[in-house]
Amino acid sequence: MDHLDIVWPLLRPVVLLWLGGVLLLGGCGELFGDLLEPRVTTADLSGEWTLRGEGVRDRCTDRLYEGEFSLRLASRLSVRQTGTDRQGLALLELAQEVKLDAVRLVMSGGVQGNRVEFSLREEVEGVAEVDFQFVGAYNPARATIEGEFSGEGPMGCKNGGRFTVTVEKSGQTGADY
Amino acid sequence: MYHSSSIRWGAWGVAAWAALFLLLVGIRPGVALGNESSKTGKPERAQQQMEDFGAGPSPSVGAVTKGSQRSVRTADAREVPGDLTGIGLWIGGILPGGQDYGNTSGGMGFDLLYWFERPHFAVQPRVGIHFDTDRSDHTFWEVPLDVGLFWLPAAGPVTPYFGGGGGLRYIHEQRPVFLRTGTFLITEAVGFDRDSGLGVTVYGRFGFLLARRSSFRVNLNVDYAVTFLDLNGRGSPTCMAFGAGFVF
Repeated sequence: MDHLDIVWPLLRPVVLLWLGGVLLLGGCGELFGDLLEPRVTTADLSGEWTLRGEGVRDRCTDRLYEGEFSLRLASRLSVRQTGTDRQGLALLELAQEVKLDAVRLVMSGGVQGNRVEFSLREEVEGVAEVDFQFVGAYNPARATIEGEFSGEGPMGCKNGGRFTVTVEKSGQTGADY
Repeated sequence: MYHSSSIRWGAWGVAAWAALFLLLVGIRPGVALGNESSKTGKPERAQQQMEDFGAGPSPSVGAVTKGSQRSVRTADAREVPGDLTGIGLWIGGILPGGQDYGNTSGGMGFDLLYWFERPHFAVQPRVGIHFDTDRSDHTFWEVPLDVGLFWLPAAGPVTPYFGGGGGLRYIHEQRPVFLRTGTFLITEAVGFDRDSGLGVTVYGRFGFLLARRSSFRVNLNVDYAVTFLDLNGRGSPTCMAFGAGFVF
């Protein structure tokens, strides 16, 4: 007798079981998708934001303003994360209106996974004085968003630089806006 | 701000001062030393000195070289500081007035001058470079190009002297400015207000002239200068300069 005649009857159930399992998992990939490819969890960035940045600006209408500058929020900004859009982007918006006389701060943006994009625009009587776009990554261990920003204004300057947002969960501290 | 008219004025100014400089050099070629020449007993030099001292041309001056009067006249001549022409250097400090000169705390300067001295007056054209010694972002530099006329009241080896002068001065200054924009989204930066220009300058001077019997003059002086020039919208900058000049 050949050795195969002795071994095969023992191996056959194992091989069949393995093939069956592969077909089952392959055919029901949608059902077991999370097991095969874990879905990235979108961070919750609701809270009080503190922003700081350093950048360079040029092509200003007044050359006095050209060169290095620092960027910050006058105070913490209360941000909330709302539902997701069709692409799974969780939307970010101001928790409450930020306005002082004719000056208004407008925010829009979203977060998907750890990737965060948002814009901040300061308007005076509806006209944007500064309009900055921020693109960064959320670091849950440090509760910070770090990345790069670009934008226009003031004095028509073209801006670019790096920023850090520190996110404190609502309730940890009092909101300034 | 740079103005083409200022640049034209600068070119004419340089030409005018160069002409004046050459004129003065041409009047007194070489270095003439009164005391030394009187020691040589040259009658024409002694007579020149007496004329400068106010004695005027006199037949008796000729006696300087003759007989018993020789020693007396020679002694008189030694009381009269000799006339001197020569190139000199000045080094000193600059103290801006108020917030002028870029609101710097101070600076220093070097001047190249020509010194034309008679017993009771001196003329000094000069050109120099003055700059700040401030370690901050406040800076200035200037180039004075002027001529001064000074009265030397005493005829001794040491005399105070007074006077003043005028000319042109090119000044550059830089002032750091704190820039803040925005109400909610704040940007902050330090900008630099830079301005420069050429203006008419006048100055007054008080000083002491030392070692007048020597061919190597030393003078200590204090100047107060005003330049009629608007830099960064702050009106005419003023400064004090104090230092020592050496004429060879």
